[in-house]
Amino acid sequence: MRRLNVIGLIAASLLLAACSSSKQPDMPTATPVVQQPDLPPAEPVVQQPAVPSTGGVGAAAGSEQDFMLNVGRRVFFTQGSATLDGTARATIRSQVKWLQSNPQWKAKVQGFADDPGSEEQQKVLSQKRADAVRNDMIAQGLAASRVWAKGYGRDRLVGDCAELECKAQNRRAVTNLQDGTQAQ
Amino acid sequence: MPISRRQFLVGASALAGGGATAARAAGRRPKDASEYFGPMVEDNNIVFPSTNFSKVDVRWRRQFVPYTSREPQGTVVVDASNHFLYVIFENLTALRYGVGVGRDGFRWYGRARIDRKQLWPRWTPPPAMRARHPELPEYVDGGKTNPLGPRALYLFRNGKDTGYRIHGTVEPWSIGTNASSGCIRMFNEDAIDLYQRCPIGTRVLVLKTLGAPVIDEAAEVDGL
Repeated sequence: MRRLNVIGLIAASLLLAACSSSKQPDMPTATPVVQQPDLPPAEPVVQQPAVPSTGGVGAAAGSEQDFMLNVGRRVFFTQGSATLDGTARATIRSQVKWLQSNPQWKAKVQGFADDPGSEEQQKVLSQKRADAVRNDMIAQGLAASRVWAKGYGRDRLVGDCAELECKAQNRRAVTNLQDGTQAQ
Repeated sequence: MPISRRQFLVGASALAGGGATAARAAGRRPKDASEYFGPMVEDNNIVFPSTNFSKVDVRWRRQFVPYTSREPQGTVVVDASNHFLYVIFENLTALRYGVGVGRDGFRWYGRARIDRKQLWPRWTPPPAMRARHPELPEYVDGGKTNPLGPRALYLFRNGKDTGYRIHGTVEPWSIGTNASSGCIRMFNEDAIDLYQRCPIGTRVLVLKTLGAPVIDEAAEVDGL
């Protein structure tokens, strides 16, 4: 164990090599397109979550922001696919756990597409994506009455460009919380 | 091979020249290091110590902040000087994480894309590095002593690995500092969280600092 730690330490010090290169890649220096917001030095709203913590701070437990901060609403898909990969299933697992701890919420899963094919095909694909998430939630123990799914096709693009940078963000399913005490 | 020969040589000479400093910085554990760790947790069949966030300055913890950006939603923006990483959300909001960068700060700025992601990444020292440091193993398997931690996101440009990555850490006290190891280091919980949020194809913008003037927007767009 001690030896392993030493190796880890050496490895850590050598990782510097990958990150301290002064060689500038042949790319224009990035021109910042962001503004520094006026951030408070520290958020005093410290919620001490149950240990071990997932690390987020500043959201009341059980709130929508808590869900966004400590769980995440989105899962992503590859081109033309409605199959959940391990990453998507891990997110869904966290979502189900959170929803089971917070029964005041229901979930509306919205599926989206930005894939090759007709508008109709994208509508179908987006519905399949939403259904895949819903089905996995139910398989993991969430009551079917607490989650519904709808596909929106190529609507509400996060980014509109031909590159993967945009497509990857668009090929998604978003779990939106709905007040479970209200009629649908 | 994730690290080019040239990058290795530069890094190795840095180790040789400022070697003592580098080694000391890498090995420096605060006296209260153990307080940075919480209960053991399991992730993909590997048990590792969680971070004790009550020990961490709240500014380095994952939180939503107001943020004005022209970057599209989902973009990862790194402010290397101030040790923050942002994921752009809608409604002028971003999710902010504390990060650690290299000992001399981050020396590379610009755009990249996440083209590869790895759970509990293995670290493989390049052959040239092993020649210099024969005590190094052929590789360090993913695990709780691996300096990359539970996740790595690999930054590529035009299909080529830049050698830079965003990953976890075994030194949670180094978040918020320019430490000697790693590229962009996060708390392990944050590395796991970010991994979930960034699909392959996520755009990354590494800045020296936020708020520098926009020089040439057209060139910026063309630079993609």
